[in-house]
Amino acid sequence: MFNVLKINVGNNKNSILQISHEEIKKYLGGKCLATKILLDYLNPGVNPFSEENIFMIMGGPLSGTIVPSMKCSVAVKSPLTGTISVGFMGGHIIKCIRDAGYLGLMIVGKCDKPSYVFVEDEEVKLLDASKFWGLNTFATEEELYLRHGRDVGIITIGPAGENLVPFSVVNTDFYRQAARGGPGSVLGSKKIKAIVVKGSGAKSPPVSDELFKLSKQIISDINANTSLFRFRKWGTTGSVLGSNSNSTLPTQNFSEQYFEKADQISGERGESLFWFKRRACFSCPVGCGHIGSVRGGSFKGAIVEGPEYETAAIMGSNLLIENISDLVYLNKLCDFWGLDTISTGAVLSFYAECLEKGLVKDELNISDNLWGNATLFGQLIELIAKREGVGKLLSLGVKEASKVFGPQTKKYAMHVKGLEMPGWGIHRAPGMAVAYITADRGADHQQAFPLSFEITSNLEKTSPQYIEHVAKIIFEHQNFNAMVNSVIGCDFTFGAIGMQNIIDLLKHSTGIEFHEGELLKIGELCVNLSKEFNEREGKEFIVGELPERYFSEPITQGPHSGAKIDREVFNKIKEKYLELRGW
Amino acid sequence: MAKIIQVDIDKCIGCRLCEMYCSFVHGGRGAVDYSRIKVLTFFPGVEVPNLCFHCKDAPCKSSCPVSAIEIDENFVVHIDNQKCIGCQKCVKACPAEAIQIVKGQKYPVVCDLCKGKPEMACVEVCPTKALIFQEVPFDGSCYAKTPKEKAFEYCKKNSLEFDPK
Repeated sequence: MFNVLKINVGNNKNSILQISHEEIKKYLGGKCLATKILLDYLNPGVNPFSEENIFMIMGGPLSGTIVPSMKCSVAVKSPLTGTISVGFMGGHIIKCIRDAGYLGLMIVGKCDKPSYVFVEDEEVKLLDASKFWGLNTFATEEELYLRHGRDVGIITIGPAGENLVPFSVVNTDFYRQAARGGPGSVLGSKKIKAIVVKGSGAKSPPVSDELFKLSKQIISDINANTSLFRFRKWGTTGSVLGSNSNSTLPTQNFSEQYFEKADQISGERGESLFWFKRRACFSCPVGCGHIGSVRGGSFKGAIVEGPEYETAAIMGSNLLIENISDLVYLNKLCDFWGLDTISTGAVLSFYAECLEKGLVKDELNISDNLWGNATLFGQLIELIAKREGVGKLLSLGVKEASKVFGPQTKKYAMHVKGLEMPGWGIHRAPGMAVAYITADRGADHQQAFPLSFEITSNLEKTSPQYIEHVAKIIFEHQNFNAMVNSVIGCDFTFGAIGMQNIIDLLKHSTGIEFHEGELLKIGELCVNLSKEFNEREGKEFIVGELPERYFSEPITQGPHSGAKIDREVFNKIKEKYLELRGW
Repeated sequence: MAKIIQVDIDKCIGCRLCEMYCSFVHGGRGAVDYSRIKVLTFFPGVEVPNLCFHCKDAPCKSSCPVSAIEIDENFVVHIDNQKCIGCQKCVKACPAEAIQIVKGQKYPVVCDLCKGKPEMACVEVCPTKALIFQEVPFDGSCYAKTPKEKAFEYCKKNSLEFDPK
């Protein structure tokens, strides 16, 4: 039996939602359980900024326990897409939540004045946060550590979340975020600046010797796993050069996928110029995060953990940023204000292209020279977070902003279901395009990744074998990843841990026996529950539309110049996929 | 010379596995509160693993009103629960902030170097060897620093801003 603490910040009434063993057997935890709860507790058509919307932090059965490399999920109905949105982060707050005796927390209702939630075991307090309102994420977290001691877990939102920017993040351990789809703004709409959790551990489950031994063995396995070596050395940013040589690195508002200066924003560059220390998610022996400080130039002193691959792509090559110091500066600003680097980067590249083409009024007298200019982009980030000037429009996200700017800009708004495109370009990968349009919350690269098959396969893209195989990959990846995200494991270490170990870990920690097939079925159930949630909002929320540009404008740079998506292939993969799903 | 656990902040990635394994070995749970080593996070992302410095002229010992604290020849602090009255004066006196109170328990706890076992739980699990159990030149005099002082020193050494702006 697990408990989920439901906190109503409107009337300060709290209750416990009990999750039975049967429910764990059926929904596991993490994404699948959170999706089921949102489906049960939210009425269709709920305004994401209303008091009904639920902000949920949900662990899986293994999250926050002695088992290494487990994460937590953050689930909301997204204000950016109107769909369900479940994100993942590796913060140690989930440890504190488990120590306090819960599997997860749900926040509903709305406060009248800025507040933060403080949970210590059974005790729940709503404390005044007017002193922190307007403060950046880092300072808020530090202030709360000073107030409550450093053995607490904290999530915060930045000014962007307070101002209801629909792509604002929740931040934890200074540099870790659940970012996509705007969970920060949902918390902001409830006037909740932070959640602070302290757990005594009195109610944390006892650890059996078997669980201890197996966990220890897994740590050794992860340490010895050679495929994780590159994550230790360069983090996810180690993928920049490979992505560029494969022409999958979004460049200049997704119009190109090859960037001449890619080596300047790569993990290798970060290693030689910038990073001084590694940082890990809670309980992960890998530590793929790297923290660094800009040592000279205009942005001297800017510190950030990262940049990650996605940030390097969307705020680097996609904005034609040519050196790592500029990139780090922009990354830091996003963390500081509490913005998603992917959506923010895509909004900025959208604006830069519209400006260059003379489609929007140049309110800041930038002329057409925005590309590659970190100082100007930095100013725009601040305007977006504060919702001032042109930032007020840009803060709507590319989909809504392009509606206001006018139909001439629609072509340059790169998104699926309102969620801006991530850092894996799809001109060479029609299947990846289908993965984006069928992901529950819009353009999300983490739910299925047929791209690696597509760019290496010798099969003719128009051949039935290709189409069938790719559709099957999307179907299987989505199920598998939904299962991983319900455990909640990490995309990178899950393979090193292995399926049999996960089954044994679940058995030792919950007493429930799963078979591999059952776990994959839970993944499939999760995908179908998300679809059910989105379907209630409207048919158009099930499968999104791909920006027209991918079909009509081939890339012109790099070794794969000329590549574009064949509409017929794309449609066939989509149909095949829908057939597999039975949707 | 003394054999104690040495901490290298440069190598610590802040995964907190040491906390989890210490807490299992000492409390049978993976709960941070049971751990005698605490990893504390400071802006701008500096983690300081904090545990007993094993000083022989220990302020914890002299602060104890009932002489419940003894330091043995291996520099390990022993708190005698028969004598301890739970006044927590030692917790306040410790210059390293390394003596812990477990919620709901009367007596404070402190690193016992895993009671002389050949492998320390925290040292064994540390993936980056930020914790090393080794002989160091040590006369037993108190050289403990607070975690904040250590984080501040680290930032100064690396020219990092210590306060978030």
